[in-house]
Amino acid sequence: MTIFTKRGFRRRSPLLAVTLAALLPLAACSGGDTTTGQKSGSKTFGSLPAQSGTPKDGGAMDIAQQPGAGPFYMLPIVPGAFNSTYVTYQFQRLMYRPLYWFPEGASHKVNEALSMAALPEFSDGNKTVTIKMREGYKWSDGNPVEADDVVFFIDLVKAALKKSPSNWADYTPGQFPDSIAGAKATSKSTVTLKLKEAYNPEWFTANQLTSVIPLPADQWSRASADGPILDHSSPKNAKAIYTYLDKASRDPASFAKNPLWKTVDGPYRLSSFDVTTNFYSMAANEAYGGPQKPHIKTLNFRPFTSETAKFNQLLSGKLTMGTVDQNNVGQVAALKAAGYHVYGAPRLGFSFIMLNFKDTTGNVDKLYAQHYIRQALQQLINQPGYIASKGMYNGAAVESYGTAPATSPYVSGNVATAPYPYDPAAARKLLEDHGWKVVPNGATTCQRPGTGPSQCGAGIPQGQTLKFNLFFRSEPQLHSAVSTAFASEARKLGVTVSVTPKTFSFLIQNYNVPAAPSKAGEWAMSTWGGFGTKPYPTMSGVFDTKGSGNVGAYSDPKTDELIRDSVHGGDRKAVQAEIEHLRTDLPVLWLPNAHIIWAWKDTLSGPADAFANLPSNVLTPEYWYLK
Amino acid sequence: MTESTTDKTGAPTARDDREARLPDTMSGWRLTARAFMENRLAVTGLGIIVFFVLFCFAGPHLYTTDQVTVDPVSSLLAPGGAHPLGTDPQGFDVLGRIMRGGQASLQIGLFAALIATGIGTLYGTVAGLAGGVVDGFMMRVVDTLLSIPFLFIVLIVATRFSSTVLSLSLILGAFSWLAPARLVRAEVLSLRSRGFVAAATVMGATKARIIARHLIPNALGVVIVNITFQVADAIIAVALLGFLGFGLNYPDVEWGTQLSQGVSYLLGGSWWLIYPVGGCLVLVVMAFNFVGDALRDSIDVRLRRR
Repeated sequence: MTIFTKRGFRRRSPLLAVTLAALLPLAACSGGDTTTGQKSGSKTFGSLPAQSGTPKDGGAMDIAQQPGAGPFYMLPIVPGAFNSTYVTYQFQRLMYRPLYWFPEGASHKVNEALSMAALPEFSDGNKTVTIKMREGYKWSDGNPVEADDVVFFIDLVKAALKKSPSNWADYTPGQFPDSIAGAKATSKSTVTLKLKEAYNPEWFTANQLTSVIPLPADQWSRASADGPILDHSSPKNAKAIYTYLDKASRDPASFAKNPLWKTVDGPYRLSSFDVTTNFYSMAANEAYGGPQKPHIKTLNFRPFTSETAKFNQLLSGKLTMGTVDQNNVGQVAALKAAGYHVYGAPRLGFSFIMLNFKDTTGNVDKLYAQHYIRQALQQLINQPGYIASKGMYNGAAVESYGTAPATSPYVSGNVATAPYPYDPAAARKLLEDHGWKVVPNGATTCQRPGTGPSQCGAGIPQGQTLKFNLFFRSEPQLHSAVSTAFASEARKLGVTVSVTPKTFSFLIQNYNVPAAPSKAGEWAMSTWGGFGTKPYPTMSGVFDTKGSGNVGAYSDPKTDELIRDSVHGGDRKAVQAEIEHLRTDLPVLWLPNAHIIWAWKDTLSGPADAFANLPSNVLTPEYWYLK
Repeated sequence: MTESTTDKTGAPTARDDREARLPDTMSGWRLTARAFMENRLAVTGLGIIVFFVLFCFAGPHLYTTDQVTVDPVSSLLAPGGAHPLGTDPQGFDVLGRIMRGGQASLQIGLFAALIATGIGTLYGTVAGLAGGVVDGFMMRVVDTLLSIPFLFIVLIVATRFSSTVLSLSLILGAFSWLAPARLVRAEVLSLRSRGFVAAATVMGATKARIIARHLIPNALGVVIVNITFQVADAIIAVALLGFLGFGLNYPDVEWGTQLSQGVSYLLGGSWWLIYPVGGCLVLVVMAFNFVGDALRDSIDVRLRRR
């Protein structure tokens, strides 16, 4: 799982006011086109252009970063507090390739062509995994990427987790690397993993081995910059190595200078990183040994403080590529006229309002423990209305009520069907049937405490109110609009939802329960975008009780059991049962799955698959070229 | 500038003896009022302020809109019959929203100005009267605080605490008292060497009494002028906070948050989210500055009738 996803005022005041209020509207000169030609709730936003032009090497392109989501961690063993697709997919993956790559264009599956090893062979009743590295991949210093680099990664992850389970965002206790009884490089190109128990090969490959990232053991197995190369198989050495690398990873000022990070096996390497602005650039790695050497020599990742600033730069033609948020969907025609291709699709994941089941403030945990309360809250979310609203999704989203996108080959098709459709009257009845006195625009209170079917529920005292705070991501504006609409509907039922904006980085660094348990009492709900999911759509690690990515600390025995079946069984129906259960059990409140829309200049081209993966926030720039 | 008219310590009375001997001569305050009313920009500014106070606080009783219930279906409607200034992304009527936002902006501006001026006046008076090392230390504290970017501090505090009218007023007020402190201190430095202060001291008046009965009343002109500028500054500051995403949250709103939200939809052609509220902000800030300038000219006898 990856998170996306005063003085001196006196005389200047009028000038400041004029600047603030009058100069900004000048940007509106670009016109007021509001036609998108987009059918509300379409599966994709536009279509992919065909590859054109003759591939040629050279040139530079400017890519927009997401506002407030700069990458601040280098080692590809990312702690939860730094974890997002902007760090893993869009930053680290360009330098450090995973053992198994996904997706394959728009398909939610392992991409064999871009993987560094052939698909693994399972034997011994699915308890032995043999991985054969492909030839050709090499580190930028010329050394080949070998089996020992895979084992090095596993040793480092073990050392990281021994220090703290929050040191690796992909960790779920009992799973990788706990599940590994032994990892051995049986030859320079073969890794053999002995598993403690049998696992579903499809899940193990798609969801566990895709997290494995070979690291340069010959260069990084040291505990200090000028220290000797250590034997990383020793836990003591591995701990020292991890401590050294982790410290270096938290110092963005040295990212581009530290010799450590100059050794890469991806198509690009970091060439500059400005900690003041978060601007960074990457240069093509001439030694890259993947199937496609990079055409474009330099990638410049430009930071922005707002979606509007970013979109202005797109419109002015100063960016080669960037995302388009829902607020600017009405301006897509202007963007196309400015020479851009525009394409979007729902991400391979899901969107939500996260519920914090560990928030004891005001008995929030007791309230969330009641399914009928979660159901009532879900019935206040008008997904079709939100999608159609010009102030919200503007048609660029699809209804979504589950953990897997409708395009996943594993879903039964129900994910687009609301288990609890928008129905405030039904929500009110549900509360009243459980002993609540509903006071519209006031304070709804529990009148019948107790655990009976018509009572409020365990731990909920008489007079208990329904009060929650909701932190939403400050950019793009969509999150504000959705949060406010939800709070407004809740208010009509006497449910107080206090909304507050926070930056994306602040949200994931401070309000991720597994990573920051001390702050579990500070938030009841949050929304920042959603989760990108691995190809096999089990929520292992996300919604199982011990999952390291279980941000809201949701815990349900049946879910744990179904996830266990998905992980250990070989039957695809197991994961379908898990998806269906989560859809109705509401570990989160489901929100529409927004189209992730990208725009790129028509002077940029490449194979369609190299652009089809953009909505997953995955970049494969080695395939792009400037015409 | 007038001085207090009674003094139980027996210090010289505030009323100038010459004024007492010339009953036909206008009092200082009347002269100030006359000078103020002769300034057209000041009268215009005062009129604008009165208009906006009525617009924001009485307007919602005459033009009733629902500023609480979000209506996604009616979002971003262009100005028209039902909504003279259109609707915003949440479907709120923009004209009603400006009234509601104006209430908060004006309240915060006034509260913050009063807090800043209150703290600054007391601080400046104590420093000016104490003099010597104490004055030097207190002013170095002010200098140090002035060297810290105001917005930087306010943003850090605003990030940690939820934004309400009271909290924003307190935050802005607590970080805006430095300028009034310097102004009042300078005024007190000139006042403390005046005869009536020396007389009060000789008569046994305590420092607290001298501050309360002689210095602050006599520095009131500077203080009043400063309040008007502080209101304007606070309105701008809260607009900046709102614009940066640290303003009031639903169901409350202020003009900065409205502007911030409007900018996100600007490229879609929703001009009505920006120009009306932006115009209101400019007018109100400008009006307070006009009034402040005129008050300063009117109160200072050296500037009067220039």
